[in-house]
Amino acid sequence: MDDLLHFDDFAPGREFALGTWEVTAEEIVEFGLAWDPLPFHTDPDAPPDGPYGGLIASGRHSGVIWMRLYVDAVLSRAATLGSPGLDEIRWHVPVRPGDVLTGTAKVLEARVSSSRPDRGIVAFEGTVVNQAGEVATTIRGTNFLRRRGE
Amino acid sequence: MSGTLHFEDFPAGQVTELGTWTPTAEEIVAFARKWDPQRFHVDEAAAAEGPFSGLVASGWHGICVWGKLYVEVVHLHAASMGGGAMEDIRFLEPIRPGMRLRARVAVLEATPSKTRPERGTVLWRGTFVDDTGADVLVMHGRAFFRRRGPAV
Repeated sequence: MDDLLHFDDFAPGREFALGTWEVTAEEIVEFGLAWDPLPFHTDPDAPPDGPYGGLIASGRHSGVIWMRLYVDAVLSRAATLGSPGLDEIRWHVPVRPGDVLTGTAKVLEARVSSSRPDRGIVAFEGTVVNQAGEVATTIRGTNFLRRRGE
Repeated sequence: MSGTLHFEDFPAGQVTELGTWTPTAEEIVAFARKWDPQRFHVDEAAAAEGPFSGLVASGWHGICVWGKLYVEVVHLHAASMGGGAMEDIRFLEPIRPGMRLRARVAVLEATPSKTRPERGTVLWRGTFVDDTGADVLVMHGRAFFRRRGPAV
């Protein structure tokens, strides 16, 4: 298990490329019906003159797409100990059917826990960018990770 | 609820009960397999040996269930114009199968928009509370509602 990423690997400034996710109308509607059933998240024929100009993804949907990319690219090969929370999720432009989203995660701060020295606390910023290069969603939060050798 | 709720129906200090959630292991695993497949969310045996000594729900799962209740109980009965940013989301206690959680939303501030007179912004605090009354998940966000009557 020595190839696992540990706290020591999350130096401030390090940026992880998380890969891409293609968003379909079907997935937007499925997520909307399950978790955010407002008409502009559930109606494939949402009118273009509606509040957001047609069908758009739930904000939480773009959030979990980023999370899935982050888990697949980073956390699934890291000695993760969970998260105490997220400081901020911001939605800058809507996510629409056909968008191809690219995720990144950047380490903002990293410090050893003073109360539990076997672990470190990593503050990150996650970004979701669409195919036009527009930042759609940003997420700032915190992870706990085991220190190497602990 | 009768009639459509507007910005004026959400004064600061208002608290609304949104319903209950008793998560099952099956739904915790199903959500996490799709969106947050960390071992302590998807694998009961591995989770027993993991940092939470058992299976726990993804924090995103809690956010999504709470959000659905808020939409169903409030937004679908209101002149809702969607939501803005979310802030200060705290996973205070792990969400485990069988917990009995109550969802609640409190209005912290209600501010008419300066730039868009037809709407107002509600700053809300959402919680899941366990059956001892302790907060398990706390989050804050902004929601936009149309104001009642002609634009002022």
